[in-house]
Amino acid sequence: MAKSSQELPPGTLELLALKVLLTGPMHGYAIMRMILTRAGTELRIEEGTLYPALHRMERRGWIDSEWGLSETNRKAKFYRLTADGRRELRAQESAWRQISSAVGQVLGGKPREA
Amino acid sequence: MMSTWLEKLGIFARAPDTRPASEVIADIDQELEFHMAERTAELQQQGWEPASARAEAEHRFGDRARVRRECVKVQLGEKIMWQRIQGISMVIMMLTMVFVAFLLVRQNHALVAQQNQTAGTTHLLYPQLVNAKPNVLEYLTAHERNKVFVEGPYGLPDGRSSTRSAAVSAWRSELEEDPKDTRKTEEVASRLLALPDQRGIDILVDLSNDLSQEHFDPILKPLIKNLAQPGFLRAVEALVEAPERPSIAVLRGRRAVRAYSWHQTPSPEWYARWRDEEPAEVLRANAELFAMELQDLLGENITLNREHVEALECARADLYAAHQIDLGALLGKRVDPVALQAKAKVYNQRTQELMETVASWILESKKR
Repeated sequence: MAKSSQELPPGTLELLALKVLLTGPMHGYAIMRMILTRAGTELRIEEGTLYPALHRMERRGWIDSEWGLSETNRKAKFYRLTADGRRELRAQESAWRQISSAVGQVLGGKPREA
Repeated sequence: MMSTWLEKLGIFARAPDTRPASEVIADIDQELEFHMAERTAELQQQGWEPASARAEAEHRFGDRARVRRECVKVQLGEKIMWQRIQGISMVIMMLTMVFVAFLLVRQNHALVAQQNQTAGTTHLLYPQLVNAKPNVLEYLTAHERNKVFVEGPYGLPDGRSSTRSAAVSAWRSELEEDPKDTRKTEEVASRLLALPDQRGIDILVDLSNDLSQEHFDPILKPLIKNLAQPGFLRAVEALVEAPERPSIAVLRGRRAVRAYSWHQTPSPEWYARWRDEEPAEVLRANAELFAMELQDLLGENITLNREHVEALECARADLYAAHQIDLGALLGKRVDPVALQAKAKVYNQRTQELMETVASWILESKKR
């Protein structure tokens, strides 16, 4: 039986997109490809859900966008991380690690060291 | 919690997209289509048939219409919110303006009603206004809404209302239209004198300096006939003093003025007599004397004489003095049109009663 892929918890896609954009400006399709490449078959993501997340982050000032030409010479919207986005990425990443660690410890049955 | 709400309200967000909505939506469509095209091309490179590749790309993308709606909402939601706030503000502003306009119209109606209510007291207010403190007059004349209150609506020959100066001009033209037609002039003068609230008297007084000689006789005749009416003597007096070469009517008018003595303050003796004795008896006796005087002047069978009228005027002067005191008190405090109207009504009513008393004596005298 094949291993079933998991859906992303709410809000996680924004964190992943910010992390991917840390490597440089790219359009939505490239962001999604990189996320899927890194996640492999572990995550099941509806590709379209990326775009409302990108637009929300843009409205919040975490990312900027501008139109340009893709590698295939097509008009594409490129996103770039802003200073606010970097701060937000650090905060979300830290929070995620803390939660992940805490959940892991609970599931592992090990008491946390004081 | 608070920050979440503020974020939802868009406080921390950038300013709403100022581009037209159609342009924003076109960008979203283009961006989504780019994704679909890239994914389809990649699948085709992996060996998928074009149609299958497109179908697979759409499958992986998910509900494109929902994604599009969400993107539009994110991009334009705040703009729509601001537009709604703007719309609501406009509606509130317009309603406020309509409400203010309604209040102004209602206030104007109230002022007009107030002016109409006070119109009848104008001739009584004049003497008091002339002697009023400058600041009272200044206040009354400075406000357009008090113009009618101060000047009063004066009737034109055609029945319309106007200011005093316009009425004087119109009546002068009417009176001087045909100088030789004394009958017509007399008829016009009678119409003028029939104006309500003795406005005709005021107009005649104003005209007295300007009327030509030939108009005096036809005007004076009806005036002298009505000498016992309130205020008529003032008009006669004004008219008969003007001509340099007095006519018979003017001479008669002067006699009437002297006899009537309206303009003179009644002597203490007259007051004492009127106060100590029964007014009806005094008036009865003096009315008979005044009728005889008038009979001499006019050549008509009227049984009143000077003493009657003097006694009558004593009573009227007393009333008038009391009324002036009332008006003075009112003007000293503040102009209350309703109170003035009430005072004027009482004054007019008492005057009318006195005149009716005299009229009944005239009839009795005729019977005898």
